[in-house]
Amino acid sequence: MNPHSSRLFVLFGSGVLAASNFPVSASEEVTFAEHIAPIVYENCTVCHRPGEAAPFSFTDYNSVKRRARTIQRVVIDEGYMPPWHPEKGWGEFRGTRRLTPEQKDLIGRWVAAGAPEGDPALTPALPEFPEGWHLGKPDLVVEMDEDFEIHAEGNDIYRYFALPLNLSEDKWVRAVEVRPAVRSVVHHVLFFLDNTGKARTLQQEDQKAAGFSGKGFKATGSLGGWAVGGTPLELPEGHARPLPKGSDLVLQTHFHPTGKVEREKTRIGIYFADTAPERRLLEFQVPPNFGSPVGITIAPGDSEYVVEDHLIIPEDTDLISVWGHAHQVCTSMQAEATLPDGTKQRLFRIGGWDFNWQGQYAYEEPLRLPKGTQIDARITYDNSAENSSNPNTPPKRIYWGEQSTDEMGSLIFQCVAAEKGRQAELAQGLNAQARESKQRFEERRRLAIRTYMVMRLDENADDVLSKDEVPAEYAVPFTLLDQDGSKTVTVAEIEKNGAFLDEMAKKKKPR
Amino acid sequence: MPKTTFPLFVAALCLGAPMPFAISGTPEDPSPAAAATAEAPADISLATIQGKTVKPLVPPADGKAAVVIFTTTDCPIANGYVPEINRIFSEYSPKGVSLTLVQVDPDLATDEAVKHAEEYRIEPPVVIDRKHRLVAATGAEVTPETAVFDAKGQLVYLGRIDDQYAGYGDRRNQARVHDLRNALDAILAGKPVEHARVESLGCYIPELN
Repeated sequence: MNPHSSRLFVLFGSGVLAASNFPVSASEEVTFAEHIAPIVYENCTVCHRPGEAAPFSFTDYNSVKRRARTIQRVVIDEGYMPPWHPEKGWGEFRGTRRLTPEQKDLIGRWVAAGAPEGDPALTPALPEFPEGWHLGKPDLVVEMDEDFEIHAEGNDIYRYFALPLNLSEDKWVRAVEVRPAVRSVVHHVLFFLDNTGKARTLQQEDQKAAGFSGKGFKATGSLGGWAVGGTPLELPEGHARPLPKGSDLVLQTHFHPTGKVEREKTRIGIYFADTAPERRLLEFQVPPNFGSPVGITIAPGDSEYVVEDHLIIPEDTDLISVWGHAHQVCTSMQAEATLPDGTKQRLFRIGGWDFNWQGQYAYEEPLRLPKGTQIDARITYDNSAENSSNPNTPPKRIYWGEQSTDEMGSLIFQCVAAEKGRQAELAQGLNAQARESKQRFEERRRLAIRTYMVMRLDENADDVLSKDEVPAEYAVPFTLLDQDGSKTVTVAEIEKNGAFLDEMAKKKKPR
Repeated sequence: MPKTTFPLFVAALCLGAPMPFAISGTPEDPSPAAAATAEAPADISLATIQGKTVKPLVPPADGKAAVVIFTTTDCPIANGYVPEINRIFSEYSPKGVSLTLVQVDPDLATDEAVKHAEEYRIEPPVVIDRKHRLVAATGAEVTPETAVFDAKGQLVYLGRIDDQYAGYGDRRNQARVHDLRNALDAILAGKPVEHARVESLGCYIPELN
């Protein structure tokens, strides 16, 4: 969250109030019954109620008043709640959970006034929240086969779980809902598919605990994902994701330790579409494949490392949904479209990227992009010690990789062809774009692989390779790299003098 | 955070003056502490949830320091610290340091506190500060803020346990600065506490009705 945004917000908000006929005048007393309960019940209570993931239930005056100062801090001062990460002005999304400046102003005034109740008779009734499944009875419910134990403290845990679905026919999925047994411990879940049986095997082989580490797993499909603070994402009417028969559902679950040992056994509800969608949902990423072709190598201390890529929309296309993915040192990501007539359209931006919130966002209405539209993606990273999310103290060079301490980065869009008959062309065009993108990054990726091959020997992680860090058999390559004879090798020297390493890299890929 | 109280606090420390107990609030920002009348630390005795009477702000006989850590049963940041609180309790108890966990929710029933302590396997004694006597005597504002008194009855540290939380929802994998441990180590070594007041991040202590 931008630390300046909330302050600007207050300034801006008061300006608006002074200039408009705002219904609650500055002199009027702000009360829970009349002003605050409607805001809280509408925006907060869906998660802040018994049995749901959030701490503190906000179900009546006393329970809200009790946390008035905390609400002031996290909602007004910090903008941490309600959790909604896409930036305003960058796409309109379903289920947006964002307070207006007027609502924030009311909360601030209410807390400052000592959180008065007002006339209890005026307090609105609590909305009726769905018990159990938010989307109603699922068509298929599956459950983890055994408990997974989460330690009381320490690192967050990422774990994969293979759940057999035993489907004998192909299905179309419009929504997936997660019901964790311990809601406070499950932070997000990505839903992958596997029709190779590999995930099952990996799970059987992993004797350490329920599930498996994810190493060696390659998904064959995806059903999207869910993060705490979000209601389940239902695809707009007429859209669905393919679920081929025989597929296993593979969960990638992010667990937060809570202070005590927890045992989690997640249930998943799947909602099928009655009929196949007219247009198959396609997916594209900018840059492709979570940024693996880009050659990400972020020097320790580099506070603004940038990845930029673009894609030309090959057919008239409707964007349905979008999400972003990166790891811990990523700080922001955005995508902007330039239409063929030169018009700019902001598609998506998260200004304060937080690895802990992997939300997926469906556009309020499908977003039509004409053929020839260019999408520019920009992702930034901060690998300095000042970044509190940096997994390394002191910072270390970070490369592309699948561990959460490595980095990745791309914006991922789901789309359909605007014209029913053009799906195949759209798919082919998108694939061609991905190939072009890979070519653009070829040189950068080669340099990154070179750097990795050499600098992985940098045991003290000072980003300079000294002679004593190099095994005897690498003495010759070391001398070739160290052409200035300084007895150390820097990344600049690897990039300048290391062409001979490219041949070695071809024979033995480092990852 | 009433920052205006900070210079007063430092000045008091420098002069070696007895701690003023009204450091907690400012007139324009009445903190929960201002709601209750502050008492001398040695005068406050409370029953633990196991039924034993303790003086949480008084170090054990021949001991060097008394630590209180404020909490509620539902503050996730405070709950997340329980394993570290247990470690500090077991490491520093043999060195003459008492540690008491203080439940600050005035409406908390004793059996709920017992259940919470069992669930989270809380090892130090737990008291329920229903009248915010300890809150007032320390000036704590959030959970899990911690206060340390020395053998002279002076508040020598008020602040966070460590820097694991860089912000709300912004938890480092590992803490880098262990403020409470540093304060205790200084006291045990007979040295002044270097950072006597460090802002604590967590859930604001619910006010008395």
